[in-house]
Amino acid sequence: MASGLGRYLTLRAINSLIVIVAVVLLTLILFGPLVDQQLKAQIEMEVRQQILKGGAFGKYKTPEEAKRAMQKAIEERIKALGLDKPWYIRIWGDLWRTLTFDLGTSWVIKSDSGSSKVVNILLERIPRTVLLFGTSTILLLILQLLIGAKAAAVPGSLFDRVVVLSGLLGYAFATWWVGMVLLYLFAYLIPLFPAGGMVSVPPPTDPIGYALDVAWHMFLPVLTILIVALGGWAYVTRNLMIGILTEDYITTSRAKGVPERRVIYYHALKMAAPPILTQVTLAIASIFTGGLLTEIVFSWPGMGLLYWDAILSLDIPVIMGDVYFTTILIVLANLSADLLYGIVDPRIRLGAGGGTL
Amino acid sequence: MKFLARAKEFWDEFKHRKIGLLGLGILIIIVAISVLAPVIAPMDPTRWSDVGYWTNNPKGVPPTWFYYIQGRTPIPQLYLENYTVKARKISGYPMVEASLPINFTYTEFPTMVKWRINVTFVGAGAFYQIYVTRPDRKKVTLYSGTVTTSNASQGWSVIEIDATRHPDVERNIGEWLNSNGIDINRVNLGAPVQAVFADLKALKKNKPVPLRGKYSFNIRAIAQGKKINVTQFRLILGATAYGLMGTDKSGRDLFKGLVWGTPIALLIGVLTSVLGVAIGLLYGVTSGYIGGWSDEAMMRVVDVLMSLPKLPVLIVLAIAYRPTIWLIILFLTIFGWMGIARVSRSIALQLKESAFVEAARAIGASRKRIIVVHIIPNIVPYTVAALALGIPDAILTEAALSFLGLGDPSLPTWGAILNQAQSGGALGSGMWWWFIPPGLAIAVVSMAFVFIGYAVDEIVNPRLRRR
Repeated sequence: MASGLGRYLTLRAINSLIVIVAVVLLTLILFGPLVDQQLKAQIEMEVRQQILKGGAFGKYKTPEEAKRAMQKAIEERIKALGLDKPWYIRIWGDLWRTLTFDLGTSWVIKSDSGSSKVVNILLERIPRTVLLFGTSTILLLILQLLIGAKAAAVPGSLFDRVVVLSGLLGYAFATWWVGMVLLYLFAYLIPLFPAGGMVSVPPPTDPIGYALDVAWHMFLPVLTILIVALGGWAYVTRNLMIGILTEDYITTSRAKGVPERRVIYYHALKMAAPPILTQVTLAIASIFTGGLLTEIVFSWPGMGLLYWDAILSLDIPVIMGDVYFTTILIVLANLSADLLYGIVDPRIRLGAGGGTL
Repeated sequence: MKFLARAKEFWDEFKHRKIGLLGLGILIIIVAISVLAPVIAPMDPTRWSDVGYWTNNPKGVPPTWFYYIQGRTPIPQLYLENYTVKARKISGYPMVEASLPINFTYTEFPTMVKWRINVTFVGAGAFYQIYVTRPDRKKVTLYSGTVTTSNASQGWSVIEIDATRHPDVERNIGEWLNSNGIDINRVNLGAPVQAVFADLKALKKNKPVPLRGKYSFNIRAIAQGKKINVTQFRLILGATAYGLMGTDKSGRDLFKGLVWGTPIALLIGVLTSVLGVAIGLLYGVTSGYIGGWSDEAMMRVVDVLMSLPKLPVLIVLAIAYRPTIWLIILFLTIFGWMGIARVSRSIALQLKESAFVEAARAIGASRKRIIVVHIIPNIVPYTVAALALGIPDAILTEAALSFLGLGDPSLPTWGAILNQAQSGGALGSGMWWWFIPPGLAIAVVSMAFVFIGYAVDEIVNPRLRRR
């Protein structure tokens, strides 16, 4: 019976692959000329330095001869790197290199350990972003289920109305701006929390102290993401739950004398899980991008802050690497939501669904 | 006629929804601000990023009303140019002395001291000095310089100097303070030039208080030649508060930026959403109505586009094209039509089998006619809510892009102001008037459309009315 789930997941995986390849191709096409230019300039500089430094300059009789020799050396180097071939031929090699995580070297930015390899820079950043984003998402999921179900149990009450309103307001605020306001209020005006970063300088040496220090630094950014996204998620859950709570079998359970708490938090929530997960899938990318921008505000040294630094210094290889890994992370997050969805929704598990997904 | 009746029916429902009316009310105000922008905040919006345009404004000062509610009185921006000239000769050389009196009665220091002078002379060159005489009869030399010319018959030179953080001025003031027993590195002043207006006794105790009374800014200029004159002497003292929303660190009037941000945000939001809905509607209906293999293919394209990570792709596009506002609208539209396409397709699939479409087909209506006359008008009501909700989405995405410094660089968008606030350290220096209002503006405009969209959604989708 796994065939339904299998087919569904295969479709999603193919879609994810197409997305990744499409994004990488797009970045290569758009940034290719810029990278080529930079590479050629670098080659020219290296060749010039070689000729001047190596004392070979004296061997040329006229400046023209030296120039010609230099030109030739440059062309040889360009040919050796395959830069003379048109972009639509080279792009497939570049695509393969990118997909296999050979992302080249950065122009300006270095990793904390001093490496210029784009992969190393990113490998340092990814866990930090995953930590921040993962913590926020897990908290969001739990809290929104509790709040949404509670609101659905008492529709029209003050609590319910607050949930609806905060759900609507969540669509209107820029997460990163809310972060700026919170940072101003609780780090500068009332200095309860650090003004940014991930750990104190110098960091605590014992592991527990370190973890607590990171948690302290993470408090405001996580709070920011929660404030903006929680209302919207809880609102979605609430709407789905209200629909389900009017169904006949819920009435039956109640009539049978099943406790109200169990009706809401078990029977109804179980039925609401698949559509809630669909909504999560749709929202996860926007939470992630909101989180990336929030990193900038809180100087959280993850992939979001890397965008800011790379844009400022126009470090194209780093931007390309960051885009690639952001895409992978978003695709993975979506895929795991799809997987959960497939497991939870019996129609897919039994192979009955899978129409237009 | 039928359309009017439906619109009336719709309005009758809408006007009972408080949240929708609230949204509509906000929207009317926003539209009014957009239309009246040239009257409320006269400015050529493309001058926003022209730093020279704002150079005479005080830098990074709070709104005036903020001063008054704290019970303080700000220094106004002072432009002084009524000076007197005295000419005489010194060892045979012509000399001119221009003095500009100020009666300084304020309780705070000016945030900026800036002058613009024009020295004209006949001869090989001229030397000049700018100094201040203070109420306590002390004399401070601020700046000295020379003017040379290749044209000995008529030389002139316009010199504009911002003394607020000028190294020469700083050194001169340091020496002067030193001769009065004060170390410039130990005094707690916003800018060294403010020491010119300081009560020295209080400054010695590191309590900077202005010394009130009659000051005079003077130019003394000597020409190596026959004639010399000062034809312009203009002094600007920077205010400690400015306008309704204060200024940023480049002296930009943030009220103007906020006001002009409104029509830009509306344009981006509305145009992106309308384009997206139109494209999505046509695409979805076509896909659903044609059906079969091409429907499948068209929907797979929607799937892929929907899973594209929006922000990273937009970042790449924006870096590659350094976009104008129109290009940004185009980019945002690429990501804004797939949701509508899906909904339109599924409704088109249902309508295709409905009796009236079958009837139209039976009397020989063309496929195009059926889509345009019978199907699209029946989907339009469902798209109104999506249209409204697409607007805040576009506004927020554009703001995010501008916040990254990738928006249209020539225009005052709210996101761009927030970008400058972030990189200018507005939070650390407590300049809340720089980053709170633009973010609130984004939220309020988005809110208007979210509220309207919510109300419309409730009316059009009766299924949701239970809530």
